[in-house]
Amino acid sequence: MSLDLTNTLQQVSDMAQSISARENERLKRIETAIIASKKFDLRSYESVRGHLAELGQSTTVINDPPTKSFITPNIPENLMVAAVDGSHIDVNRHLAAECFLINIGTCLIKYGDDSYAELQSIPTLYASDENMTIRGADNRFQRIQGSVLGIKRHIEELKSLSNLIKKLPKDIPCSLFLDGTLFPIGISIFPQFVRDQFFDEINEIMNLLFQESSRRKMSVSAYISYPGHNDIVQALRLLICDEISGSGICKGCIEGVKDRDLFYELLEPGQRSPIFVKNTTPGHTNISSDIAFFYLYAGNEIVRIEMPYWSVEHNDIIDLAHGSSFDQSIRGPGYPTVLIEAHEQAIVTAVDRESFIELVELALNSNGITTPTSQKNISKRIRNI
Amino acid sequence: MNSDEKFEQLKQNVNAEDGWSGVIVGGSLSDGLEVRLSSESSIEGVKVGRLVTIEGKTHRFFGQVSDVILESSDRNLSIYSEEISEGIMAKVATGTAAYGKIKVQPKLSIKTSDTSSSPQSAKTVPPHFSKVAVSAHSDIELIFGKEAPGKFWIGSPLDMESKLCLDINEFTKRSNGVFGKSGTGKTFLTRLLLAGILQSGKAVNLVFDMHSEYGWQGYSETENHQVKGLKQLFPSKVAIFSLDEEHSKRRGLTPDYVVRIGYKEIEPEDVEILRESLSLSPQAADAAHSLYRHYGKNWLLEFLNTSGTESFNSLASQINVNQGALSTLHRRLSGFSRYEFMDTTSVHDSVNQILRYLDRGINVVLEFGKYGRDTDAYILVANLLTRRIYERYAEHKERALSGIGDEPTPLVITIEEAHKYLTPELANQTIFGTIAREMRKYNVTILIVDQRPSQIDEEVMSQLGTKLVCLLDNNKDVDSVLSGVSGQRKLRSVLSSLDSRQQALVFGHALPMPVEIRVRDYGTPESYKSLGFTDPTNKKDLSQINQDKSDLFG
Amino acid sequence: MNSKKQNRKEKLSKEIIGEVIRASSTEFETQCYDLYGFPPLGSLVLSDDENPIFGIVSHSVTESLDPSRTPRPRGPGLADVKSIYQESPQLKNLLNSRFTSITVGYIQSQTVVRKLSPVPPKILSITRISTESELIEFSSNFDFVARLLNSSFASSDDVLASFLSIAARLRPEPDQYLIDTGKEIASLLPGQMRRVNLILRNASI
Ligand SMILES: Nc1ncnc2c1ncn2[C@@H]1O[C@H](COP(=O)(O)OP(=O)(O)OP(=O)(O)O)[C@@H](O)[C@H]1O
Ligand SMILES: [Mg+2]
Repeated sequence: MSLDLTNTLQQVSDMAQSISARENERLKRIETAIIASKKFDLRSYESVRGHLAELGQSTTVINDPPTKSFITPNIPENLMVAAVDGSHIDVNRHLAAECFLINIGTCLIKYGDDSYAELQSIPTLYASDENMTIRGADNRFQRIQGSVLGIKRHIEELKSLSNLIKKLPKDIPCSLFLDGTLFPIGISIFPQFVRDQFFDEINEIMNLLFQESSRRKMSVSAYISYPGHNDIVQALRLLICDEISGSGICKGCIEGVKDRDLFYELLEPGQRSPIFVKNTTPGHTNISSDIAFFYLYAGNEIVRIEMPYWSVEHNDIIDLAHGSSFDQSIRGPGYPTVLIEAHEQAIVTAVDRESFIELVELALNSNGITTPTSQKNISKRIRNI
Repeated sequence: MNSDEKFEQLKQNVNAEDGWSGVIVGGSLSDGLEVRLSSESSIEGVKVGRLVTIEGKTHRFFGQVSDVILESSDRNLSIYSEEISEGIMAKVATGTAAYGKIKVQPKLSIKTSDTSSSPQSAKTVPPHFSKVAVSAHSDIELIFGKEAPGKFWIGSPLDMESKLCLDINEFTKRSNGVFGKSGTGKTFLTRLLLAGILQSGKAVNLVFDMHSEYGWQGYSETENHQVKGLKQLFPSKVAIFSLDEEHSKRRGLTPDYVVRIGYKEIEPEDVEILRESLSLSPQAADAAHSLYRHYGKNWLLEFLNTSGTESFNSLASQINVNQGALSTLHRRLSGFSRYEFMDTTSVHDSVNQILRYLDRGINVVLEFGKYGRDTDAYILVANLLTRRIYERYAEHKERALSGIGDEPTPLVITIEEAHKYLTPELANQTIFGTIAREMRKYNVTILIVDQRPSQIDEEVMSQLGTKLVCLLDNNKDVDSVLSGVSGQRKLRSVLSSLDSRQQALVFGHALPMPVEIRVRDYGTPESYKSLGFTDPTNKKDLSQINQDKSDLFG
Repeated sequence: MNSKKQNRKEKLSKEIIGEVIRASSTEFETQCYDLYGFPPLGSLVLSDDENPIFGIVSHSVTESLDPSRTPRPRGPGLADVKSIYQESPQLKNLLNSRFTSITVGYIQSQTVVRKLSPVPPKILSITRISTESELIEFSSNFDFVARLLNSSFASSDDVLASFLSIAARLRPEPDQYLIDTGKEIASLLPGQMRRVNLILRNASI
């Protein structure tokens, strides 16, 4: 029996209607949020935030009204732009050898006099037990694979970024880019010993970056396209929502509105929002988790730029991040060129994956190890008729 | 060596701007070989008649260019001829898409390894891609021989500097002919031939010098000056007899002998030969014989002295001849009395005098002076003298054959205007016809110099051993000189392409193959010198002579 | 590229322009070290390993290294291509220039053989532009003409014309050289004088 289209048609149109109704609702909420941001009172907010911080929650520090906008600054003519991106091949249980691969792509572009570019990709194979496991003090261990591997990769990207800096000339301003958030998300679900291990590593990298940033004019920007964050909207809610309580749910006000919706209305192309700081550890700053961020109308969308928290004190660094992010997104176009190229270097295609598997098996076989390849894998590769 | 390399080598042989070379691409022995010219060749440098050498595998062939053809390998060439007719493209197309082809008639061949013998007539053809080039000097010498005693340089093959030689010994074995229309150089060529014969010593000449141009001072139309005669070049070897002493003297010459002809010496035959020019009917000519029978040796004088109707009537009835015919004969023959060389008195010694010189190996030139303009006189005298001389030669030869004395020195009798008395009707009756037909039975041959060969008896023509033919433009004349010759069609085109002067096609007995030549120059000091003449008035030459003398006699 | 690096590269490869990345009996492909670093059409090049092989540049291409990424037009207003490359230096890393050379001969014990090489060049052997004297020697014999005309390559007539124009310019009498080669061409293309004409016209510009 074939699809009953008349029946389906009805359902589809119902769906469209409900979507459009929801969309109208959403637009209303955005409107509300905009009004709220215009009325935003810094002092009232700071006192609310102070309370929350005392309760041990992470908060967003806001020092300028959210409606304030900053026009695109000029960027230096001679400028180094660099980016790192990574991808990986996860552990494959069909494969005789247990291993994973992280491929880090880097891109470095010098603009201005004698412009040039360097593209590179460095694959690293993790195969030894020690390489593939995180061990806790009490003999507990965590295999690195799946989502853990995702975080491992993020950290490797950060490492590469800090290594990349060594290649850069000291006398030229540098703008470094990461794809996505500055810090890996989702660490909190892992056991403490895993988190500790990761934080230690991040900490080390961040210290390195911090030291470097005092030696040269350098910005680090994590570029988040189509950000789903709502830090600022949450901050607005703290001020306008009557029903707000500890975990209160605000009915009918600005629930569901994203920061990007708000800034899409508040910013003109090229402009950025004020700098906000995400404070994760009340009372002091945490180098491995606190960030400064702003929103930028880049290309055709609002993007979120995250920077290490210390950048907030340096207007020239913020300008560098703002200007070069916008410039890069125009060159892209739509997305920073330097990130596109780093991504292209990092990318592992399906064909690459196949070749990688074959390479591993070949190596094992030539070392006298028979590989009890699963039947599924065999059938995947033998495609002769 | 493959053909490519051969060709490569060939290309290098092409030197001057009118140089050319080619390779055999087809053809046959009968129709001639087709030769594609190399792209470097200049087609304008190729001339019909040119002698070429073909390098076969085992034989070297010699032949002659018989045709020049423009070929094109591109059927559409004419359509876009404009596009490619200029600049680089024209040069590229020349020799490739548009190329020259020539036809070559192979004539002779010789084994490449053979260095001693001379080439034989070609019985086969060289293979495809054999290279063809203009014959070298050495080839010409191989074919025609080197200049040497008995080998007389008569000219050069067309467009070549090489000396082409005629074998005088072979030449004088038969009667020969020099033909060509007026002004083409027959006289100059003949003078050279006479010099050649004279120098060789193989034969002596008797020249019936109609226009007084062989013995003493000829005239060059182009240079507009006098040229030396044989006597001037070879004083000790030539005697000049004259029929017109006054004329000779006017030209600063004292003849060695003044010829007189007695009436008694004229025979009815001599009248017969003049029949045509005297417009005599056969009956009238016959009447001469009747008169001879009636009067004997002195018949002519007796007859001419007859006058009055009555005496005629009685003579006519006595000898049984139509009276009208007799009176016509009388009228015509009385013209002889105008000839101052005719003598009523005695029997003269002219024949003996001539023979005396000839026997000593001295060449005799008989100048006709003013009588050269009178064909009747020329024919009468030439025929009469020749007949006598021939009779004496025949006796001499016969005696020699029966063991008494030496053979007479071969004699070459040069005659002009032969078409007037070697006509088909007369050829059988005149002494010249006899001589021409007999080859050298009695060591006498004739050298015919004539401009209308078509009117000469066919048989006489066919008996001529070697023909030297200058430009002829009358088809009948061309037919007659070429009749009986192989490769007529080709020779015909060669013949018609000759220059109007000083060029000749030479073929026949004395040459291994027909050849087109530029006749050796005659008339310049150098030309005299090359014939061995030293000018005694020239101090330098004089001292040279003295030097030679002292070399000789110490 | 910074200037220090550039200098070093220039010294290293005065005439070396790339490496062989594909080779067959009849042609070989070279990837250039520099974007747009290919020699002009019709140039004589050598794949220079222990068996140097002559090729005539017959086809050049510049395209994205990654076939799935095509270059994006920069839009109207950027007339100056040079500034585009200045502004997007990564283009040099993403694009590559390659050229195919028709094999026309090889060098065997110091002599030029104008035939197909018994074996094609090795992959990654260097490719260099021939020297003037090599070019003069190579073009002094016309056997290469047939190789080019008979190659399956579509625009071989134009390649031949370009080659001839380069070779002729090195001769004291360029026209004479064209005439001589022209005759060879004409003999190889009987009945096609128009084509011959076209080749020579292109060669003599
Ligand atoms: N071998 C030669 N050397 C120099 N000049 C020559 C030669 N042959 C011919 N000529 C020139 O051509 C002219 C004509 O030549 P010649 O008198 O021999 O012609 P012909 O055939 O005898 O003419 P005709 O039939 O009128 O007697 C000569 O006066 C002379 O100028
Ligand atoms: Mg004459």
